[in-house]
Amino acid sequence: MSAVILHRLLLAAALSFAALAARAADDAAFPDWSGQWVRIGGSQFDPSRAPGLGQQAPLTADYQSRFEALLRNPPADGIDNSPTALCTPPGMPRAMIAELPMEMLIRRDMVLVMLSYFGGLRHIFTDGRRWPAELEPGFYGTSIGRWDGTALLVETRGLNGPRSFDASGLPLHDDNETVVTERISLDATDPDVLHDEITTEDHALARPWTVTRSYHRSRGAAWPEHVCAEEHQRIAVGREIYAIAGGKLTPMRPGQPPPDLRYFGAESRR
Amino acid sequence: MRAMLLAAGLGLAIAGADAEEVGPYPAWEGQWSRVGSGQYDPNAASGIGQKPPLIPEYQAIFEAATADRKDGGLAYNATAGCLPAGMPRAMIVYESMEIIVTPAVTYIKLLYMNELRRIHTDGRGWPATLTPSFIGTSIGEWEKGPDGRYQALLIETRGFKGPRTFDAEGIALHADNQTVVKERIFLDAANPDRLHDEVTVFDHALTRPWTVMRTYKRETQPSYADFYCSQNNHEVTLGRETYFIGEDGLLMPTRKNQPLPDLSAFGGRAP
Repeated sequence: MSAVILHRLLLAAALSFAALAARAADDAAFPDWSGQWVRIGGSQFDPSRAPGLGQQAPLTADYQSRFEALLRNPPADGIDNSPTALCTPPGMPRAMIAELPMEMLIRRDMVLVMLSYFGGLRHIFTDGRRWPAELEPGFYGTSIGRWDGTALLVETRGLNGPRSFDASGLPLHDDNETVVTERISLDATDPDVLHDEITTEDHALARPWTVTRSYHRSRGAAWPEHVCAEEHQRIAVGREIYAIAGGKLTPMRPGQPPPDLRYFGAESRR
Repeated sequence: MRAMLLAAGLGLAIAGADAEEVGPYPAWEGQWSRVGSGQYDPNAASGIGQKPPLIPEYQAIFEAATADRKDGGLAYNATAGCLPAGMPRAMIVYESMEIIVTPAVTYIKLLYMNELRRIHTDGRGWPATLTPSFIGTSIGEWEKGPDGRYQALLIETRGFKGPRTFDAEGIALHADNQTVVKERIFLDAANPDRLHDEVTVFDHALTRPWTVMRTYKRETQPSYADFYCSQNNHEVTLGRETYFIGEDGLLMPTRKNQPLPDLSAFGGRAP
């Protein structure tokens, strides 16, 4: 073995030890976010305010009108006025309501947020990457984060739609140019409480809207398996939403017309 | 010196790939995609070519599903209605899967239907009762290799609900959902970018345990796309009939002279 090769191997060994030592130091520096995080507060986006119009979301006039019209004439049963009623995932920022418990896995180069609701998974990259020129739109978007001490600062872009802030149907803009920034950290006095300060910038809003969601830690609890198709047996046919019950289409509101069956021929109608 | 050279080699490996052995655990972390096609046993032809060791009752169900499928029906396939694949079908890995290894839990996140397997490796025993789920409850145990490092994960999965099928061809698992799935997951001895899963299913629809081997390749450029059944699903199953929702959002038949959907719940109202 030549002296040059030996030198390179020893240098590589030194670098690998340094990397492992740095990793050990990094691992020790990460906060303990293990366990199951359970939502504190209601399912409306801002848990400190009443749902619906009580949220006082800073909507533009156009989107305020749209929201009020939706509340006056809700689709289907009015229980869920949002895309999740048809099993479209909640996406960001609504996912962080954490309708069902979530788990946070801290890795050296990313933080994974595993959401039981809709089986959502957020990858928050903390490897120092920059924003690429183009983003593939997704309901959870693309998230880049960095550690500020023991707090994780996250920016999320590249979102897909339709999305709403919560089940009331409180809308985000159709252009999907939402940008969500978050600061996730443990409570200063209670290590079993996690906070997420969420600021949403969106063209449906007259100004950025900041809310803080909190979660309490549970350990050893069972994880739910959320299957939307099992929970919501619904389909959209044309402009109407129907339920499926006992293998049959059924109306979801009084007087709802049955579906248009124009594509079925005479033989089908016998 | 020998130890330093060994460390140098390890360091180069660490620097040269995303795959990284951490502690005694094998380098599984990252995204993997299926090798081979989407039938349950990738080493046998699809459909009846799978030759599943079914009891006569479930062989008849399989043959009926095969005939129905040729006629456009999908009622036998619960994923057509966006129910999850569940185990063992989930390990076909129609889309991709991401593996995260921690001392207490190995996570397998399946993009298809967004299913998540938590394989508990903390030494826990089986609880007296299990909450049934499509993906089941999994307990694993690491198997050590000659070098003392973990080389394979042995998994047992129980506690199911249904309906589940082995694949999209209509090979049904028993309706009693008493399935037990045993797996051995390990890296290929010659290629560390290949992962194998030897899957053995015990089920009352089978005359004997059925073992297949699935293989996955490591994605060096992982892509974190969304998969949402509701967005892509144009099929709707009503009773035994499967219909199609066209581009204009209206219901369409999937075969000639298909009966109309039952609209009796609308009290005779006209569309």
